[in-house]
Amino acid sequence: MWPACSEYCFFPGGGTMLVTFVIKISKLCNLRCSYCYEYPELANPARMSIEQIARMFEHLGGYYRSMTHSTECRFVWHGGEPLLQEPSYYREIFAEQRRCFADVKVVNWVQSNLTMLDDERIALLKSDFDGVGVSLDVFGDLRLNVAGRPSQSKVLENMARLKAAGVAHGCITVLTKRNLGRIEQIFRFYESIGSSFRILPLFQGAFEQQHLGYEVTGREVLTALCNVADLWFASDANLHIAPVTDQIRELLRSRAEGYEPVYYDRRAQETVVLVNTNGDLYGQADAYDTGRSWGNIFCTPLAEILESPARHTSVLGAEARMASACLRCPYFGACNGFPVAENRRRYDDTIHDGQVECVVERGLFQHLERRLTEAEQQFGGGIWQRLAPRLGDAEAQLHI
Amino acid sequence: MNMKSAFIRSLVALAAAVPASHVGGEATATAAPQSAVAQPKESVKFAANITDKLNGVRPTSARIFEEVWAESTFTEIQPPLAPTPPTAALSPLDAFDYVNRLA
Repeated sequence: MWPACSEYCFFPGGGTMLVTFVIKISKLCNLRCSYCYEYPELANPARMSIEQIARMFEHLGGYYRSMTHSTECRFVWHGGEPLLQEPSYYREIFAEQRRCFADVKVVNWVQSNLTMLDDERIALLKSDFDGVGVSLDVFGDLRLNVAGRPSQSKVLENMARLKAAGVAHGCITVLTKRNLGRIEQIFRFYESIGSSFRILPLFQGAFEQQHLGYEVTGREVLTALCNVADLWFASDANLHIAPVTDQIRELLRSRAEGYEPVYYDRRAQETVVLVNTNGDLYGQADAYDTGRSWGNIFCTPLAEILESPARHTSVLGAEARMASACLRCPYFGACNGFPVAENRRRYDDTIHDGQVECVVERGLFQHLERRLTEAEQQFGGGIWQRLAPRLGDAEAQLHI
Repeated sequence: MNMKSAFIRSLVALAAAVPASHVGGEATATAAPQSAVAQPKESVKFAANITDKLNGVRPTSARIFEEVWAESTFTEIQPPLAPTPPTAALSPLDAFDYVNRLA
C-alpha cells in the first residue's frame, strides 16, 4: 500500500530528497480480498514487460541523475500480488535498474500478501529486495482466497519463515469495521512478535458499495489511533506504528529549538508517484481517475510529464485542499499537509459545509499533544530525550 | 510557522481566491487562483468542471463534526488495561493465539 505521509518529507536528513514510485507490476492476484481497490482486475495476467520497465528506468534515471541534489528513489513493487511473478523476472528488472540509476541511491521494497512463499522467493526477498511489507489485518477475515476462505493462517506461517530467514519485514493492517473494535488486540499482536506495522484505514473501493458493511468513518479511525497511541506510550516495545509514531516524531520535532517547518510542496518536487501497469503516472489523490494521468512513463521522459497540464491540475487540487484545511491548522508545519493534500474524499464525515476537515490527523495531533503535556506535568521536561530511542530507528524498522 | 515562505504565501493567496462554497477541498474557483506560480488555464477550467461530480459527496452534520473535537472524545480514552504481554517475542501463530485469549 502507499507509504505513510511522513515518508514524503523532502529533505529528511543529509540533504537527500526522497521520491517513492509505487509500481503496479501486474494486477494478477491469487487472493480476492473483499475490499481490494483492484478487485475487477485481479484475474488479469498482464504485466509490465522488461522492455517497458527498462524505458521507465531510463526516463526516471535520466531525470534524477540530472538533479543537482542527492536523491533516493524508492520503488515499492506492488500489485496484485507481486510475488506471483517469478524471481528471475525481478533479477532482470534490477539489472536494468542498476544500469539506469548508476549514481542515484535506489531502494526496492515489495508489498505482498505473503501466501506464495517458496525457498526461491525467500532468497529473492533476502538478497534482492531491501524490505517486505506484509498485508495482515489480524482480525476481520476479509482477506480471502479465490475459494472465499480466509488466508491468514498461511500468512502467519510464512511470516515465521521470513523471520527465521532473517528477511526484514513490516506489516500493513487495513482498518475496517470488522477489526476496529479489536484495535488493542491488534496492537498486542504486533507487540508480541516485535513487528512494526502501519494502520491503513479502508479507503475508496473499486466500485459503488464494495465496502458496504465494513466502511469506517473518520471519527472511528481517530478514536482507534488515539487508543493505539496510548497503548504505545504505555508499552516498552520499540515499535514503529505508522501513522501514530510518525506524528509523535513530527510533533516533538516541531517543539525542538531551531525547528524548520516542512511543507508538502509538489511544485518543488513530486515525492510519491503511482505507476500503473500500462505506464500511466498518477498522484495519489487522483489514482486511476480517467483523465487525471500525468502521462505515460513508458513513452515520455519524466521531465516532460511533469510539465503536463494534467499534472499541474493535480498539483492545484492538492494545494486547494491544503489551502482549505491546513492554513487554519495549528499543526501545519509539524505536519507537512500531505494527509489533506493527497487523500481526497477518504471519509464521508470529513467534509463539512463543503470544506475538507482534517479530522484524523489533526485530532491525533491534538491527542498526542495532550498526552505529552500530561507527561511533562507529571515527569518534568525531557520528553523528547525519553522518547527519542523509541523513535530514532523507526525508518529502518518499517520498509513498507 | 515560517509565514514568509513562498509556499505558504502561495497557499494563502489560493485560499483567498477560492470561495467558501468550494466542495471537497477542490477549487470551484470563480477567479483564477493567485498562486505564486502561474497556473495553466486548464486547472481553473478543470476545477470548475468537477463541482457537480463532487456535489455527490455526503457532508456530515455539524453535530457530528463538533463531537470530534469535544472534550469527551478524548476523556473516553482510558489508559490500557490489557494484561502485560509476554516479554519474549512470540511466533506469529502463537501471538495470534495469545491475542485471541485477550478477548
